[in-house]
Amino acid sequence: MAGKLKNGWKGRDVISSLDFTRESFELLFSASKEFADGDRARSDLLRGKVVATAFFEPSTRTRLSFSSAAAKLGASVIDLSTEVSSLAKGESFSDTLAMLDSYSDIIVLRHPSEGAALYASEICRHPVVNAGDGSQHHPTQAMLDLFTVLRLKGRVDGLNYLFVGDLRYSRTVSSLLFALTRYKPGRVTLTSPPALGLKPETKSILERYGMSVREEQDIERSVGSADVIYVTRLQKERIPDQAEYQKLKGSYRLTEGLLEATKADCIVMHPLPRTDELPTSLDASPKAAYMKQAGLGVPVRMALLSLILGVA
Amino acid sequence: MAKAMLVEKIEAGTVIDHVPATRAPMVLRLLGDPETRGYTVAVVMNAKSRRLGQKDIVKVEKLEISKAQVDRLAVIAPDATVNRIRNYRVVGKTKVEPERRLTGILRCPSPTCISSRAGEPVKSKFELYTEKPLTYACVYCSRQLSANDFLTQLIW
Repeated sequence: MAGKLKNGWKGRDVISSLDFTRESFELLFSASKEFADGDRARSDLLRGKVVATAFFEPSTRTRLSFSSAAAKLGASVIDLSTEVSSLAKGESFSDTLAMLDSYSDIIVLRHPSEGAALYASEICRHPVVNAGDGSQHHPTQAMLDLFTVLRLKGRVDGLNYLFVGDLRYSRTVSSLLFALTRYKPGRVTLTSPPALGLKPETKSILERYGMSVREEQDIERSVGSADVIYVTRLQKERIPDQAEYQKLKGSYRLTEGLLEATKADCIVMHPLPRTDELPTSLDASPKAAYMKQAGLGVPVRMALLSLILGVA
Repeated sequence: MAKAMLVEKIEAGTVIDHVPATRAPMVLRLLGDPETRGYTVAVVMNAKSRRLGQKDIVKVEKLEISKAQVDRLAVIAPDATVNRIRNYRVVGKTKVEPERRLTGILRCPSPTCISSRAGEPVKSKFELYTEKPLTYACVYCSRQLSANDFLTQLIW
């Protein structure tokens, strides 16, 4: 690995996909590949290091894959349980973060407020990794999504991407779109119910980085040319009006019929968990990539922790 | 016939010119209401302006305004000029320019932004997004504010 680039990761915070260059991503993916292929058998790379996980929102895959990645590298994991910690007694976020900072070498944070990870990075001396904050950033998900595309399609550039679902409140969608601004994707198409279209702020950022996206309400018109279909669930927890949620529930779905209309080598991704937008009847299809995608969360996060802690 | 001056010249202090029409009271508020603290204040509202069509002018005797006040001024009067007066003469002229970063000046309207979280010692931070039109984006949540929003979101 190039020393210069290696230094680009060491000690840094991971707040937004937009903070990274293509070269940084490529370095990460190179290290991720070594872990995914089992080329790096050493499990003591992070011995003596303490990884703190602080999840102020529910999580399954992100939390466990970070814990698994840390454990595989020999690090200890301390977990802030938000229900039984001093937070339940009314301790502020900043005080909690300052405490975690003094107990660990790196902090993996998830929080419902936009900007929580950036704010945490201003408080903490140790690196902060954003494991999802609010509805805009989830950079490590975008990294594993890109790695999945790279692994299954052999490239990121030139492919047609179709995003389907709740694009307004899904931070995985905006994070992946931000990451794609570092590449040269083919056509990027967004399909969602009108109320769930991309936020104007997100669109504006994409425009600023020169990425053009096409909005298409009719999924049938877009599936045929897609190389990568990225589906997201309705983000129930972030939709402010639950009556609106009930109206939108079930408003989109990737059906077997739609999957048949896709290219033979198209892949379907989903950050999971899913609800009814991705029926289990699709799981047996060779196009279904979402379980592989979830599995790649561990090697990507192993690479990420190693690079940031300066041992990869 | 010579044009009469509406307001006398001041011996020393600050003249803020090219304030958007009707915003003079906001400028005074931003300066900490100097009229309530014994300063001599003169305000001209809706004066003719070649550049703005109409403009306000604020004169405050014996008051010099701080850098932080100029930064705030930029969001309510982005075209203003601040003239420093000594012995009835302009000794310094500053064209208000939008700051690249505003800290603790604008409040983010998003209830889900970390900077809106009650009980946290977090200061709002906005970065200049576009100069024309003038827009700022919250560094925490990317919410963009334009000229109309500045007035409602200004932290006084």
